[in-house]
Amino acid sequence: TTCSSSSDLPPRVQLGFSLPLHKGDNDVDATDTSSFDGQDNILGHTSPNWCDWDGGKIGGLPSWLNPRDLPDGPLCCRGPCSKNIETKEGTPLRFIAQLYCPADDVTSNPAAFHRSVYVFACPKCCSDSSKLFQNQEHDDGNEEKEIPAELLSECVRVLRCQLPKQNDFYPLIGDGEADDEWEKHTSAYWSKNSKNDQLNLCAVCGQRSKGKCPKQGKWFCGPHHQKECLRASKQHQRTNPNETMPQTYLPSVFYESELVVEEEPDQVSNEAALNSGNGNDTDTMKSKSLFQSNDVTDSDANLEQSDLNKLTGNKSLAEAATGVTDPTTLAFYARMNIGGEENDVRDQCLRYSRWPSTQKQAIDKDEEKEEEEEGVLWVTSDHRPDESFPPKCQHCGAERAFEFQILPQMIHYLLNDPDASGDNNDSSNERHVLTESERAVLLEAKAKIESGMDLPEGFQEQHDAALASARDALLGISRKGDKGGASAEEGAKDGLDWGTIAVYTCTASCGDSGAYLEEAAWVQPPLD
Amino acid sequence: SASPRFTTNLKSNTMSEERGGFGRGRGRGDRGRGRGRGRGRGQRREGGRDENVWVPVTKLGRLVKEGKIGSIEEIFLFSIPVKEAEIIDYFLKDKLQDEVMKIMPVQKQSSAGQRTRFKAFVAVGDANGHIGLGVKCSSEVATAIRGAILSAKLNVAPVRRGYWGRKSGLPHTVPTKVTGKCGSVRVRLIPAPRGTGLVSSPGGKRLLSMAGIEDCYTSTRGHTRTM
Repeated sequence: TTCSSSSDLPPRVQLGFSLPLHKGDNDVDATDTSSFDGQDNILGHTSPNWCDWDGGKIGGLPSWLNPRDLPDGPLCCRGPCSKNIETKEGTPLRFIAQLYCPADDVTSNPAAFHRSVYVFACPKCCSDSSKLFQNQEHDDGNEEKEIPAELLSECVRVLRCQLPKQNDFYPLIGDGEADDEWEKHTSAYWSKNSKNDQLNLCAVCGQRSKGKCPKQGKWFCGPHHQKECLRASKQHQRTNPNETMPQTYLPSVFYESELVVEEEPDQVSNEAALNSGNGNDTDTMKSKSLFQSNDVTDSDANLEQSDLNKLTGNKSLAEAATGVTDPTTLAFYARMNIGGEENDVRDQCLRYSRWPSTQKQAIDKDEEKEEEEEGVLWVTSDHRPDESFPPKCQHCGAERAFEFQILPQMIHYLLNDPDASGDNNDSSNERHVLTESERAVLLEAKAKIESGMDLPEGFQEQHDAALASARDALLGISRKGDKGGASAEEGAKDGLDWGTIAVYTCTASCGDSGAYLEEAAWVQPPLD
Repeated sequence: SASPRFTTNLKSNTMSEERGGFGRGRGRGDRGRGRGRGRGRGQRREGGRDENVWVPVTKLGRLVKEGKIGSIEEIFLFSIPVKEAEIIDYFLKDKLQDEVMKIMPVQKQSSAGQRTRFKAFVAVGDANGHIGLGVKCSSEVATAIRGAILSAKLNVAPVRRGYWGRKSGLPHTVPTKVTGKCGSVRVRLIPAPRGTGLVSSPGGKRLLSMAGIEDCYTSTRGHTRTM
């Protein structure tokens, strides 16, 4: 094992995994002795017994810690889609995930006894068809190559809420003494109690509502969601007339799952990793290679991955290697594989490492960072924040520091119904899947071109055009930006994409009013 | 401001104070809700882990997992960059072999003397038209090999194959004479008739067969000592 160069061990990283919700009867295991007792899920803060609160949740509607002093709704994007002259404000954001992460011990602030952080993302800007991502494609000579990374970060908003032990919503004792009639933790109670209609939460996004739709008999935060709900219920009525529409049928609601906490495993020992029998010392392993060289002056020492890629002719149309040469990305994958096969942690959705020490050891620039860096595990080496980020807390002036990051694996869980069978037939038909014959035609055309035989004029261009449009359809990119396409994209759930979302929070965890305070996030664009 | 009584409560860590959530360190108590216990993955697996389920990290990965991509050829046809090794594993599965081509020490002069690390070169291939080369340097050989295999999978390229004479059966040789170069070394690959086999040095033979070339003549010049 590599030795740590700092005197303290780096803070252990915790990982968040997605677990499907248990449905009740079917899942009760007679031998199961966990603390659940076969109850339904108690996700988020739906139960006032706060000793049971753990981890968090992904998707669904937000479960508010403070059910009464909700943020002014609805939360909207401040990124590119809000700069559109037509619409006055940006697209309403969609709820991604929430975590429960008390901070009273770390900050000595008793007001942070209960503390939850909520993450929301823009469906338009953080998606395949987003203008922000299109620069990465092999586009038609578009000059702008740089994705303004700060812009991308404005498309994600983070809220933090905390409460002291003594508060208006939860009992002082959190381990089950609250009777079944405890209601103060629900918005419904406060909407009745304080005659605040806005606390009848929006049926689509669960935030403050603005009014009730007489036709549907539901509350909504605005016209966007009112329309969305109407459209969805009509569509659902057509296809499944006898069932009630599940909430996840709405495009704005992602599939819900539980977020559980685990410790990141240590680096798997090298013997196990390579499946080699005995004799795992350096010499034996070296002898397993075809060629050994102990010659330090061997010129192969200078070969890097990009050189190897040139040898295999590994280039795409954009003349960048189709593979991966970015050491940050390679390090990201290596970290995903840290558990090896016995303790596979590649399905992690979230990495939690609150406020890692900011002391940077003076590491040589060319020394390879084999020892894991604390803090953010970036996915690419570009689109990283500079020193001016994160900004200081606007509420109290304290420094902000990294707390956790959301990984691209979470997208898989947000977009996939854990209950559905293998074939998804509803919304995924929007993506054009190539049929066997279409595929064969394109491949044959390519073979013809490559064989160098005489081809009719314009064959190459036609082929290229056909390829380009099939490719765009496959990847769900709409280039023309036509009205029809845009609204279809806006409605769809899929298309959501990011590389990683790194969340930075106030290190003093300020605020004792129980209000929802905004924190900072940095978004890296997706790997591809 | 915290009253003294409050502070004492925090420090005493009685049962009523214990909370779960992230960032709680070891004080999470019995909240063993990780995946392995209780209703975790152990239950879904039905006794023992059969296979580790792949959760894609890239959009292409998600498309592949959903079954929207028919074959690896489609990916190369559209020149979609493959940024996830599991995509390669998904299509090539058990056919993918890896070979450690070379491990060599590299040295760097530092104030504390010389620092030796190991550079591993790995090739992966499915003997059916796909080859990838990877390189990784690390202070431990095993780490270097593991990293190089990962890198090789992330840099797989298609191999075009052709015929020597009659276009019967499947392609078996290189489509034309082609020369590759690296440094001062020139390697020329020449189409050969069926049944010739691979006329090449051992290293070349291994690479060509992993790429799926059955017959080929080779000719090299330059400083070829190391291979």
